[in-house]
Amino acid sequence: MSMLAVEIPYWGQSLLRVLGGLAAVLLPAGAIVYLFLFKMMSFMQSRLGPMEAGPFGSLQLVAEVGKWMQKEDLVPEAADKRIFKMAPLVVLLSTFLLVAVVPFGPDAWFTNFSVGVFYGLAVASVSVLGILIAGWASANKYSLLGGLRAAGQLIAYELPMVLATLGVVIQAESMNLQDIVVAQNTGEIFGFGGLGNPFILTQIIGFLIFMIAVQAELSQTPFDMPIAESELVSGYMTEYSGFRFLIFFIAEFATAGVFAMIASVLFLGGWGVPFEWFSWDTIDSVDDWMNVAGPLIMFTKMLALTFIIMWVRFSFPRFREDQLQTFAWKILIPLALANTAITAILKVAF
Amino acid sequence: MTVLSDRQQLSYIASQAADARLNVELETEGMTLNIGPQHPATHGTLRIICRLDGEQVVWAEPSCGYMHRGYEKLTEVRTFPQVTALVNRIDWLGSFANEVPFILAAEKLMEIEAPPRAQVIRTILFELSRIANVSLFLGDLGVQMGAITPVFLAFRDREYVLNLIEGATGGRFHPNFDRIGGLKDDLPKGWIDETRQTVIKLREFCDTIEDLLFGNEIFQSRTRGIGIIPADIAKDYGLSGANLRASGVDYDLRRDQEIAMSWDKVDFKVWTHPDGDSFARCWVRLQETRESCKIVEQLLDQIPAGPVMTKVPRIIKVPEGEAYVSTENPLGEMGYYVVSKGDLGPFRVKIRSASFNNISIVPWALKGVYVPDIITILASLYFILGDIDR
Amino acid sequence: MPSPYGKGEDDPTADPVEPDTEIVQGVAGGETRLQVFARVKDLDRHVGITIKADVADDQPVIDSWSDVYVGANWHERECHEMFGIGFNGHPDLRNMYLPTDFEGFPLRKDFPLLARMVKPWPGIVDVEQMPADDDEDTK
Repeated sequence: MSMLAVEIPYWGQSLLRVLGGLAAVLLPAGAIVYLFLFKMMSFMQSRLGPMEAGPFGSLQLVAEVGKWMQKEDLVPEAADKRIFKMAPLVVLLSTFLLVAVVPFGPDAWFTNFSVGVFYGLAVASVSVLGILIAGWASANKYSLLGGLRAAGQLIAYELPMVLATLGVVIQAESMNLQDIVVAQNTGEIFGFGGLGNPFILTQIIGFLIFMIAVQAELSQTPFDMPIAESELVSGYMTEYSGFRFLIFFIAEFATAGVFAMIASVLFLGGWGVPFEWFSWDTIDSVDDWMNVAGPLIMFTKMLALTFIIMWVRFSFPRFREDQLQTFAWKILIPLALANTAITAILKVAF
Repeated sequence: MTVLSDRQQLSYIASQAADARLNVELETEGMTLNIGPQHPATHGTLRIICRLDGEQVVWAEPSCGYMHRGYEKLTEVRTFPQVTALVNRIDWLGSFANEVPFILAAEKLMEIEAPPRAQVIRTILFELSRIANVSLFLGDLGVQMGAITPVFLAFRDREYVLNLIEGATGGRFHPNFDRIGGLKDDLPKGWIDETRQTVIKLREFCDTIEDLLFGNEIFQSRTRGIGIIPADIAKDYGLSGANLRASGVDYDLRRDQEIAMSWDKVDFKVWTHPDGDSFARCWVRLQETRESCKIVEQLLDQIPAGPVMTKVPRIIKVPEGEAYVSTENPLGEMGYYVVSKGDLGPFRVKIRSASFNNISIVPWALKGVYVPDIITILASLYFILGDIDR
Repeated sequence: MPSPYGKGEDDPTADPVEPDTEIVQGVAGGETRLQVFARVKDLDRHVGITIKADVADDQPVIDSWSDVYVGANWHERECHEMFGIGFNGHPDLRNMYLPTDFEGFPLRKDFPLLARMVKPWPGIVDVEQMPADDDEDTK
């Protein structure tokens, strides 16, 4: 907080952190929903998308939020009420917990754990609980099917994600996300420091596995068996309407944004540009204006990765549940293990 | 076109058997799921009652009748032109194709034939309705599998065909254009050239869908080997149209019967596929759309000059007798058995609709499949509710 | 100009048109009231034949065909539901379209079409008396 001229008391800093956390989750969600879900999907399908609310439909999200919030709060009679109401919040909770560990600048971070990666991966699994709870508590056979499919799928795809991240950790020699960013931006490719050393180049297999696993974690097509609109109506979200559905909806896109942020930290160099451009040496010599530019750079990288996630979502049909599991267990995990082994060997050798 | 290997077939059956064994060992109780009348997957209000064991179907039964409109009773109190207007609505996507067999049956009873110009224009409109119907099927196939983009392309390209039908007949979905003895009106000016342009666009659409959907590995793994219907079972149940041809039976009513339409003047291929699986059914329909484009192009060059209506009295009384005419409609074989008592309206019309038989195979076809495959099989069998329930 | 909405609405004092309740029989050449038609087609020789069977008036029952042609199963169900013809040996003769507790057999001629009982058909305006000279135009 030293970049500001005024000394802020601790409670002020905490308040700023909370507000920053909210912005870091909701702003990407809003941007992703408008840019990709409304506009990009429409252009791909040769139509225009929302055009009425605001110039070029930019306020459509505001209209949607208003619409969802003013609906009746229905809870099915046979549903387990307390758990039913809790489920969307659990899913959104995991997103907020995950964003706490993402660095946005040299000093603009919420928490700086030395085991940030470990914490992040652990906390990303909390959403599975929320989905399972939603599926069971809805007292609806479609939701139950969706919840059980989700449980199987999300747990299966956690493993490739962890193993892909392991490769990055080995290469960066640290589990601290800030260190990973610095390692990428101060690194050199064969002596050429102009591009830094984004791990996407050496960890390309890990990157692909991570993106596929993220697509499955978000229940996006081709892995959207839990939702599977043409069979299960809406899967675990069938019985939710109004404000609770809004939370599921926001959580889906916010999680997409946060996972894209984590992927950009791990593979694309996070908030930074290669330090050579401004001749910085270590993290301490980075200028303070980077605390403002860093979030913007991070936002751009996040949008680029989310573009890929959404593009795949709108193009592919969906896998059947057993094909999905086969893909995870028989193809992705061995590949990720091989990637980790090769990274480890190359790290020791060079 | 690649054929399913024995190994792929066996592996699917083996996985189903393994699941069934596990369900028996764990003594799980089944769950009855209603793929209810309101559902995104069924083309209308079809209800399928499934008994599931885990994700496998033990027993499935369609329950129709949510859209029964009593067509056969209604036809008894209408005159023949009024029945034509009514019958448009049985298969509401293949608009013109519903009227044709009925009008042909009435003409057979009256022993008249439409003039050659009318026959050719009837055939062109028939094939255009087939294209309109099947292009929606191709788009809808994507949606059932989860690919949400092809359906928009399908609707966009279908608009061109519907504009053509509207230009000629005045109605996009319910043209009501056929009359006993010919057609209501002649074609408008410029229609033939516009049809030629549209056929080019439709060919591109078929190529796009083939690239986007049929070439996709996920689509292939979702449809290959799923819902195999052998040829003799297909014939037994009375399947017709593309479903029958996808099981390897080479039977097409356009080529195989003498009828007062112009299919004998054109040169087209009847596509069959030896596997009887969902992919085969989808693929055969795609090829048939291309053939329809070819047929329309050839016919556009051959429209003879002349009247579009023979001399018939203004108020038509069809003589006594009975006639059955069936044609190769987009959904299958649709036929009308018309019993006339020499009056203004028919005595009894039996509507043999294609989807009725196509859906009767569902209890047999859905035994032991997984829940996602139910949707695949239903989508590939392609029914329209109005056709099942009339 | 006659009203397109039916003659009855023009002149409320006119008598309502009496529906014709006479049951015409034997139109398709049978002796009893109900006949069952079956149409089979040979796919190789491209020949279709219609088989007609008279059904007894007092007890309309006929043998089922569903063990020979499996596809006849649903057709026989519909026939039973609409006409009341029983099929011996059919595995599962329940209603196809109508609710289970529906009474009556809709497609029989003595089952009235309610809409026609209530109001005269507006389309009746189409049916004018045949002018005498039009008969010469028939082919």
